[in-house]
Amino acid sequence: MSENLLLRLGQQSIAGRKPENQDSLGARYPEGEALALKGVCAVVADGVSASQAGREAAETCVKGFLHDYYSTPDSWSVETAASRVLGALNRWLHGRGHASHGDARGMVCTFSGVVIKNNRAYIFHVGDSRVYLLRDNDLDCLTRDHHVLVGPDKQALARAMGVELNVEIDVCRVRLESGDRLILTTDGVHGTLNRQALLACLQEDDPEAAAQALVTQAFDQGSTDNLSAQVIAVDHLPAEDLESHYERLSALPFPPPLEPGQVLDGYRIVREIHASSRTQVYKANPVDGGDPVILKTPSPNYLDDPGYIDRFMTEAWVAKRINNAHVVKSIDPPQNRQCLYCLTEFVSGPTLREWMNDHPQPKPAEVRNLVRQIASGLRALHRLEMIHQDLKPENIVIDGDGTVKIIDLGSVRIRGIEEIDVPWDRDSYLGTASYAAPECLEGDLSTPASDRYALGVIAYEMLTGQLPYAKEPKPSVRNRLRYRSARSVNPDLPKWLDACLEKAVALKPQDRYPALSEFLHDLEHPNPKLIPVGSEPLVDRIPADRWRFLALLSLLGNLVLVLWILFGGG
Amino acid sequence: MSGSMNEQSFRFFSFEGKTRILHLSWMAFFITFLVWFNHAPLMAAIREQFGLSDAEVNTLLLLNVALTIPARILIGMLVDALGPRKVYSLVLVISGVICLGFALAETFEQLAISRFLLGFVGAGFVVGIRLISEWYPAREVGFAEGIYGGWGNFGAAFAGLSLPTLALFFGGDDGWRCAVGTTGLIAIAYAAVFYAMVRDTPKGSTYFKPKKGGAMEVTSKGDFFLYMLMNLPLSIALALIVWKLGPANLNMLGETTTYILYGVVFLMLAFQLLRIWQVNGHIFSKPVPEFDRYPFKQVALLNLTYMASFGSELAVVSMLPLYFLDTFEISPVLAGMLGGSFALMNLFGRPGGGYVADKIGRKRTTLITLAGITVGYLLMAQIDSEWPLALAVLLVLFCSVFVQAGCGAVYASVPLIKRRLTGQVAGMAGAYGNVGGVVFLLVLSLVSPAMFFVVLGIFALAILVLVGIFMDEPSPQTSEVMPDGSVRMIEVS
Repeated sequence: MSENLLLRLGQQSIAGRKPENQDSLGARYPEGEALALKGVCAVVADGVSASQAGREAAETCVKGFLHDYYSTPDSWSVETAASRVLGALNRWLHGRGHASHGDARGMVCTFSGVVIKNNRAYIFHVGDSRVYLLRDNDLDCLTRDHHVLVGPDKQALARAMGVELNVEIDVCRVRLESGDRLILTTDGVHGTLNRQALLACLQEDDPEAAAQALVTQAFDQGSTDNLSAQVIAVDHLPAEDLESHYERLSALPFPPPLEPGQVLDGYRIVREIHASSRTQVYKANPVDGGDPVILKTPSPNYLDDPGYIDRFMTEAWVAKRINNAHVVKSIDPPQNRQCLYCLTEFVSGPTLREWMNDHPQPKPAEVRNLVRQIASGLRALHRLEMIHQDLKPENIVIDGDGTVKIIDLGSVRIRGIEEIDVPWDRDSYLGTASYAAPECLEGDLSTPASDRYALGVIAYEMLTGQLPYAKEPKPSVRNRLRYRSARSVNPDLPKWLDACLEKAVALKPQDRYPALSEFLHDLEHPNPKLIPVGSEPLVDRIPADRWRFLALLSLLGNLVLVLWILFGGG
Repeated sequence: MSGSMNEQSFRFFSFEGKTRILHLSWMAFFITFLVWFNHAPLMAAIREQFGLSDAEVNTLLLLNVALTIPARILIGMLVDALGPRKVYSLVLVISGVICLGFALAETFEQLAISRFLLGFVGAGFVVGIRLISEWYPAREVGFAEGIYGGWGNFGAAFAGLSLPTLALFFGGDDGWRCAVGTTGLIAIAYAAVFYAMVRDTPKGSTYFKPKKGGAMEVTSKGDFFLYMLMNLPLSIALALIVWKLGPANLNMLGETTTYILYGVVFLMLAFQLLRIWQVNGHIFSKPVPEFDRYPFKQVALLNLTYMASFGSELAVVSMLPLYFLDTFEISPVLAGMLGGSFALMNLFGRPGGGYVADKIGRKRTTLITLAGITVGYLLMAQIDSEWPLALAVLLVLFCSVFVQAGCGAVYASVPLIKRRLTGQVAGMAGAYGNVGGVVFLLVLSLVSPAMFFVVLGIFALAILVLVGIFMDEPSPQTSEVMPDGSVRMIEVS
């Protein structure tokens, strides 16, 4: 069905009478699965002349959008995927603008983009570039210029990419018909040409020629700005089909249980490493040589559970976006894969759990080295606004060179994803009880602080072989829980290290280290602020049980006294 | 997906990890069944000591399965809240204590009340199913649950084989009390073992919040009404018990109590229908996407098949020892053993049914087993004192194999209906098994044993016709392995 979508694209961009072309435009016309799932993209961006790096901003937007949009999970709607990518780009521009130019107008550009998928066009717009729809010789502008009057006859951009931390993007959706044309222009073109002139230029059948005509015509009529135009001719649309999430989710079937020796999409299964009620994990070798990989398949238990499939597909997307030596690398599945699975590099070597079993009393230096590497991987995730949510010794492996890698991104939460509307219940995660922060067990959304808690617990466990709390910090027992001093388990540890650990695993998120770097610092250098002056108060030295016993004893004594007063006196 | 029994990772004789959980679970289930059916082989002695009428005996048998229907719902909620480990231990301790109460009963009323409360133990099955699904990956879970179900059910047979001998060993009129009490003590002791050795989930496993329970999801308007309809028998069965015990019949309950109980049953039904509406009301405004649709009639047919198989087994296991005793005038020990032989084949019948279903197809297996059940029960209706005992026993074994294979086939089909709802479909089928137990024991209290077998046979025949006409063969096969070892996905459209 989808291969019936036939489009022709043409585009043109020139600097015109300006010394530099600050416009940028681009398009992507993928094939196969991506065409069906993601559609065709065409975008223009106009770098704002007032900003120092307008051209860089425009180029970043176009390239970034065309790349990142196609990396979003297949399960996401066009609106969701594009909005999220644009949101991230905006934030990046905003940050860069501040960093390199010192003010908010550092890197600013307009953005207008069209995504054509199935028989619909989705328009995303901010600024004063335009998107037109030409149907039956009737030209309709689909966007609204974001202008404000700043004086008589003087207008300025009201909204653009890179100005504010959060940008409001206009989104609209149009049902296409065969023969429609979509035209994207920057203000150098539509600021000069009136409707008739635009229409005249669009009489050219060839989109390339039409774009050429628009730009030339505007230049000839005296446009002083950069000139850019894109023309998309819709030649044929796919047959009417039910546009639904479900269809996309069920596009790929689940693989069957795999036996050693079987070959799936060019990977020969070596053995099953692990199987749980949620996933199966295999070691596999590429048939045509190369390094072994980990192949993770979804459990048939969730064959028709959209929430689970959504999460499974998100995992691959997450892995694809992270590039850090301490996070396991994702491997792109073959183009024409037959079914749903995830591929990552194979890391030989023990998990941190096995390492801890082999090294019951490690040197603090060894522990620091490991913690530092884990923190590095964690930081890479946090920088992309992702929370691992399931950091535990079983999910950390140490390869032959001593490099630590975080594996299993299956529970990663991407901030903001919760707001996306999907027609199914999301898989909500509860954590691995011993390592999940108390706020997660309580059902609150996890934050980077929750991951830092898990890292603190892991550091504590490496140094002592125990967990910092006698019980899992579930809401029901939380108020009674007290930190078990690491020195009570391992008296060799210095006091300051114990204090550092205590702060790292504080039950309340606001009591923990606000950043990984501070934790790492205190792990290596005694922090005088943390070490209590003088001795501990009695309350802390005596365990709660003993207090209870004392209270009971006192009650008993009182009872005896009462009895003696009542009956004994006579 | 195909239930191939895979040797590479199914280490049966190990006592580590998930295999340990499996062994501990089936033993727990075994003990619950031992306790649940400890009265059947000893009924002759109890009848004699208390001078019970046939009606009173039938009442005890009926009461034994009555509480199980509502208890399943309660246990399901408890497992959600406390986890399988605590709940199974709790079930074992409580049933052990009630069992001791039954052993010490002095009047028929005490017998009746403790037997009624013991219905609670029948809901233990649900707990283990949940535990095993936490521990076993998809490809092994079917086989593991087959072992769990089959070997656990064998507890009923074991009761028949061992308890009369045990009673004889203790000797005297009160031998049966000692035998019953022993099973109670075993349950209590085993609860401690279970609690000490079982963990709810594998170590270090990541928890995902269970999907909200409550009513099952249906995906079309027609199915909505069919689902409501399928909820009626649960309440009707409960109402029938109340009627049976009420003033119109056995007169064990006063008029006021009877009406209060009718009210409770009605409220339960209303509450259940309300929950169905809350979960599914939206389908009247917005149709469910194609991807998420499934035919509820499949669930209904599995329910009815399970009612004809497991439901009839519950009833037959309860009555058979006494029936043999009365028909052939043999010793209570022999009668208990022969009666217990109906549950004997569980060891092979149930897992075997699942295995055959994988090999030759679900629908065909279901039809064959229902045909076997029909023939078996109709033949059992012909048994009289003229028959050689050996032939009667052979017939019982023949019939029971089909009954248990039918159970196995039902549970092999359950995951193929709608994977996401597997737990709920399994729960509903199980509840129908209990409804069968109640209804058929009620029938037994109204007609002669021969007629009772005829009813079982006719019922199985009716379900056979329904399954033959309405059931669709679920197609699990979506991939094939080429001779060179490469895996090909088959297009299903």
